[in-house]
Amino acid sequence: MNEELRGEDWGCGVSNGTLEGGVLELARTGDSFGFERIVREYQSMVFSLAYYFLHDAGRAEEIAQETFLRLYQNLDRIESPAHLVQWLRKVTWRCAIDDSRKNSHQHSVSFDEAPEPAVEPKGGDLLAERSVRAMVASLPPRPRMMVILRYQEELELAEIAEVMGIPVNTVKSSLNRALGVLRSKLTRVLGDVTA
Amino acid sequence: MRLFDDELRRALRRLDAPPGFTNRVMARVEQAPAMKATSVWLRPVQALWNWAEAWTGRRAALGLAATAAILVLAVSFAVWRQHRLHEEQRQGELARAQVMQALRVTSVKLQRVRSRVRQATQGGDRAPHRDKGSRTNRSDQRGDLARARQGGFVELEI
Repeated sequence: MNEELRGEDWGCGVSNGTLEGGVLELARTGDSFGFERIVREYQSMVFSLAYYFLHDAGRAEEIAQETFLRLYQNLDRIESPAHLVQWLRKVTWRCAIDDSRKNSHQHSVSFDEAPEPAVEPKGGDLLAERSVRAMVASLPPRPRMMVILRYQEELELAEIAEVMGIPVNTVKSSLNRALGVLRSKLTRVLGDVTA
Repeated sequence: MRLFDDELRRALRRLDAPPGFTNRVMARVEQAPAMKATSVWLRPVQALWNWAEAWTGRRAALGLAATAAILVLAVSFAVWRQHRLHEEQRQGELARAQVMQALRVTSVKLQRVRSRVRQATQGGDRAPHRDKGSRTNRSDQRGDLARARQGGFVELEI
């Protein structure tokens, strides 16, 4: 993992449409300051979604840049700050899944074939977090994004379904299955985490 | 259970974007073309595309779009071919009507010639003169020609 992303960089809160409507209006008129504020507000969310999905900082930045570029070209369709957040999540997901398919030889691991993390647990938080992230990264694309949206963005099942454009029941069953696999693997690696 | 959720939540906390990310985005934005203003008639197509892409993924949406394009092309080709067949049929009918008309006119002309030849052979060396009977005969021939042009049939006797 990139050194710059460790330690003190893990402190961003979840922001869901906290941008003032005026900033969106300003950006829509073509004001670059307004658009820059939008980028600053949501770059953490977009970059993190792409990073946890792709597990590659370079590709994640490329996806995040592409997402904001698309946002700039489609600002006239954004209705509100809340719509903006959902739109960014959707486009990030689509860009990330497209990138993942282009590089599918790197991420084609099924639930049962998912590798155990290379690092042995030694009790440190950082190691545990890295193990969890490695396991999440080993999930198939759709359940992986579901887990990321559920725990990074703290979205409800219906919101995840909306972002990914799939039925709620599909989200529910896939997420349950993915979490079951993660739980059993984490239990083996880190000890009893279900307590 | 809660511990497991907390582990995941902690591991998947938001990250800061890499340093200079905003500047790089803004540089790309400045180079990008102006905001897309989708024309009104393209909006339903765009909405349909977005819906298909959301439901099926980009590849499948592209496949659907390609199938739809092929269907449109096939239907257009079928309509064009049908129109062309209809046009050819219409021209054929017209040509047939013209040929029939020409045959009728020819038939009348031949009858006229035949009656003159008969007159010449019956009258011997008598010079042709215009009498009441011949005038009647000529007016009959004119009537035949008119009937032939109107579509009536004239029996051809040679």
